[in-house]
Amino acid sequence: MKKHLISHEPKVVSLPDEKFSFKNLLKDIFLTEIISGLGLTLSSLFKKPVTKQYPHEKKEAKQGFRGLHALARRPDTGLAKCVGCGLCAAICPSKCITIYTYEDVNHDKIVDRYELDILRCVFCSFCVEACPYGAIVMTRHYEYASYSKEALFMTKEKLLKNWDDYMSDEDALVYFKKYWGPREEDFVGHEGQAVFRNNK
Amino acid sequence: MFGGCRMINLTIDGKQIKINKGVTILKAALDNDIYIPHLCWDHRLTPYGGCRLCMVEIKDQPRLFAACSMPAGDGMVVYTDTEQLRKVRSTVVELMLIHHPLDCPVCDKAGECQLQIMSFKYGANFSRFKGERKNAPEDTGSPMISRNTNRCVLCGKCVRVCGEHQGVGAINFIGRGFENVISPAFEETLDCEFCGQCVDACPVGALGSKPFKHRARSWVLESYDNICPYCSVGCTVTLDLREGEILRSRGISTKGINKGDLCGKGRYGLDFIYSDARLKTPMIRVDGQLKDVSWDEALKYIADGLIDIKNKKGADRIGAIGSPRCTVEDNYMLQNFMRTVIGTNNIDSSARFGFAVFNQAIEMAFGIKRLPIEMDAPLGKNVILVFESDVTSTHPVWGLKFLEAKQKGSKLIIVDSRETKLARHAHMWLKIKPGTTQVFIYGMIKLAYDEGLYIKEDAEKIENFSKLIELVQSYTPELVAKITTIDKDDFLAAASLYLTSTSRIITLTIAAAENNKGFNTIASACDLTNFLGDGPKALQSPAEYSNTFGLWQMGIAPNIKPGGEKVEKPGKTVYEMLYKKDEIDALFLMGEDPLITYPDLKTIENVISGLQLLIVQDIRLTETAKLAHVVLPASSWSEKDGTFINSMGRSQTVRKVIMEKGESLPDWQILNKLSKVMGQSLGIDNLKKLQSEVDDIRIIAGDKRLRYIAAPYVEPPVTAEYPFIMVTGNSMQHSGTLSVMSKSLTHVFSDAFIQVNTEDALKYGLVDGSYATLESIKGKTVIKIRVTDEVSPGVLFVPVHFKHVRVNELTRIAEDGTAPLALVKLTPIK
Ligand code: SF4
Ligand code: SF4
Ligand code: SF4
Ligand code: SF4
Ligand code: SF4
Ligand code: FES
Repeated sequence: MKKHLISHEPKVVSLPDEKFSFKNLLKDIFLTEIISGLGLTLSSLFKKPVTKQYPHEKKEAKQGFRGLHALARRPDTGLAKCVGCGLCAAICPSKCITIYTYEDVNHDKIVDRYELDILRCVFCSFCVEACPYGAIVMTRHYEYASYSKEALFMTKEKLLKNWDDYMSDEDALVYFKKYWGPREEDFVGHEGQAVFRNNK
Repeated sequence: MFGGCRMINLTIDGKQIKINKGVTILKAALDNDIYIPHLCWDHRLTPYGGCRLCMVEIKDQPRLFAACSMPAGDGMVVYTDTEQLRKVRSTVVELMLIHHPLDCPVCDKAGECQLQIMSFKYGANFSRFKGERKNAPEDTGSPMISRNTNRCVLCGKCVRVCGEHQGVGAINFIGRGFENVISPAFEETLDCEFCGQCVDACPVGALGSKPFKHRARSWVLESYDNICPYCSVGCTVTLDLREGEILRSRGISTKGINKGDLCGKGRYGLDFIYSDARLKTPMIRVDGQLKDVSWDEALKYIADGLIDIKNKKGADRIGAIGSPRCTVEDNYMLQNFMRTVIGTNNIDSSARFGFAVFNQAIEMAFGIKRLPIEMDAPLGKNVILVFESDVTSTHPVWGLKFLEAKQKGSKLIIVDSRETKLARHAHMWLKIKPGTTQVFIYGMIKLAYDEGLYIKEDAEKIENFSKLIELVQSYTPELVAKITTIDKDDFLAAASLYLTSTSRIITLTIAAAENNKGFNTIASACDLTNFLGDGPKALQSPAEYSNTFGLWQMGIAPNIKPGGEKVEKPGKTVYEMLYKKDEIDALFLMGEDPLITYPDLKTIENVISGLQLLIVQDIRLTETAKLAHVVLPASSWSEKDGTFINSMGRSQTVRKVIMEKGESLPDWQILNKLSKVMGQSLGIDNLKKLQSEVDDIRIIAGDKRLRYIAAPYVEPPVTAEYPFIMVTGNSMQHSGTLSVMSKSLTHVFSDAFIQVNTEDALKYGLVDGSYATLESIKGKTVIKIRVTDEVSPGVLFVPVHFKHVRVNELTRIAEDGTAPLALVKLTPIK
């Protein structure tokens, strides 16, 4: 049987009986509650503040943070890892990724345009999860508010630049491996089995 | 059971099913909306039983059966989805994937790949087997098809569809075991007719269409059905679009008259709409140059010009030519414009050289307005006789029915000077001298008469009987053999096979591009059919292009109105308008390019240059448009709604699926606007109104009176100076000049060539691939030589599509009813 999470029975709400007591009368006369509240404020005055003075003070995003998107580069060629399989675009719930591919002279599939409209993105990271190559990733960078829509419309070039800007240091790569670990490693199967055509 | 009952009952997954005996379990299930997975089965092919995905359980049977090859039995109880079956299917998929490269991310089949779907449904997420992944290089050398054997699951569908169904046999399995791949002979690059049937049949991404390669993922495509714009078979093509651009076309097994079959033109030739040559704006000739203008300007210019000519010289000085590539609505509007607004019957089209000739003959012979053409006509016939017609090139998908009939036991006799595809499959191929079909047929009538192989009372009742008998008397087998150059015994064998058979058809096509048949040829075929009492059904001669039939029905002819009603005062035909000087002053061309496709170009050029006003309305800047005073951009197929009527008389809707090019407008709208500018509105504001007007046309039926035409055979003059007979026609990959706009098709071949027999090549010193001058009385041109045995000695064949080789400069017209063959000579260029 399925349990109903929300009961539709009307609830009778009864207020607690405010009974007169001597203790309450004393509390009201000597303002004890206000004094204890002021005491808390006083004690906090000498503690370290919890709020950050953004933008003067910045917080480092934790690993796994879903920031600005980037397109990963292949370490060997420096080109985009993306092969244009379109899975990221297919899974994207807000349909904000569009990919155009073509066949180059060597008959390989080339990603011509990779467009991502950040303004429509809901930062679910499904695209990253779906990508078989870890080619689209989300960086820890979150400061990209802008007055122009143009600036938030990501093209392949911009996304590759994001990779260079925010994901090329050692620290970022660790973060990348750990959280957005490329799925291609899952395809290996048995030891000694060739994976993709050109990897053999 | 009742005697003779051929239905059986069975239960599949608890559903009671009644089907014909002999049907397989798979077919029975699919027809009843029960899905059984299958990979190597195709409705067009004989069962193969190779993939084992279609396994089913049958009650009280210890083993499993392949549903695709197991005939359903009476009272069978079949289960298609049990625990055991799922396990079997999972193993099958697992085995298929051992060597598979798993490169779905870059494979264009992903999303519609049967292997992917099956693995998703039944496959395990691990493999118990170790094996090497295939890693062969992809074959990308062929112009249309890329072949990646790594992805192949060896279902053999491509091999069977190409050999069994398409009758080509360009690919087959080679190698054994792990090395087993599908490949053209000797692992060369695929060089076939590029119909693409194998690509559509392949369940995985092993065979791919090159124009579509890497252009879009299958799931982003939107599909729309449309009717192919090329030939009169009228196949349904399923167009796949991305963001408003047509990327590919497919045949779907459940759709249309073609049931999944398409030819190369329908599959690869539709990109003509994206040709760079498309017109975008109206143009007017100013100081000898065509200049872009607005619609208003162009229409005003035309209206002024036409009114001027009409007032000064009379409506009779204005002519128009319609197009079999335009819709029914467009053509109706054109004749409406000419007859109502201009007030003349000077309307004709290229059908004058083909379909009109045909219709004249059948009307005379059978008293009917149209032949009952049927898609399945060849099936179930004992003997099929094809005269000088390359059906698999002109009507490719219909042509497949001939191959199917032959496979099912029909005797196929081909009488042709060229080795056509059907000739290669025929039981008998008689190499006839071009243009002598008539003699062959008269020989047959004489034979039938002499041997009494006809129904005397019926044949004698028909008008002109004695005239016919008198005419054929001289055509003894000896004379037939002499004129047609066919061996006498071969003629007798073929003729008696046909005459003694109980169910038989004759096929011959007639088209503007072909010059080996004339009115007399058709007339003789009609006479034979009448003589044998087979009725018009036994004569299968389909119209040429996608809407030739519709054009005719809409009265694009000087002597008939829409529906076939005769006009009192017939106007001028193409012969008068284009081949006689000073017959007209203004010509309105809608979608036709006479300066390439019509015979005897020089004369036309001459006549056209004398025109006061030449208006060309087309989708691209044609050769004729280059001489025009006004050029109007028309929206092409797929850019407008309308109707095509195929050769079988079937009205089919063509749809607008993409935006029209530039400022172009549908042809009917242009004419509608023009009539308004000329101050005579035709009262048509929208397509619906126009279509209802077209629907109201009363179609006239003939008087059904049979008659022998008995046209005499005229021997063409032969001169020693011009030793060759040149036959023109369409090639397999092209159709008129439309297909030449297609990038894909011109990739297959784009250069005009002339086929010369090996013997002749030796005799005249012609080398394959070299150039030669081709010359007739009419003119001369330079053309590439292709030495082949596909043509008989003394015969040359040349396709007429290419504008850089103006083959039609050499051809002629024949108003006298004979075949307009051209006599030519070929001289090698040193
Ligand atoms: S994070 Fe989610 S919404 Fe944003 S692009 Fe990726 S899939 Fe689309
Ligand atoms: S899923 Fe990955 S490889 Fe595929 S298109 Fe998206 S980013 Fe490229
Ligand atoms: S394209 Fe047609 S002819 Fe060529 S291999 Fe495929 S099926 Fe055969
Ligand atoms: S290429 Fe395709 S159709 Fe041909 S055998 Fe392989 S999987 Fe089957
Ligand atoms: S057979 Fe004719 S209608 Fe069918 S696809 Fe080919 S050209 Fe088009
Ligand atoms: S479909 Fe039956 S074995 Fe392949």
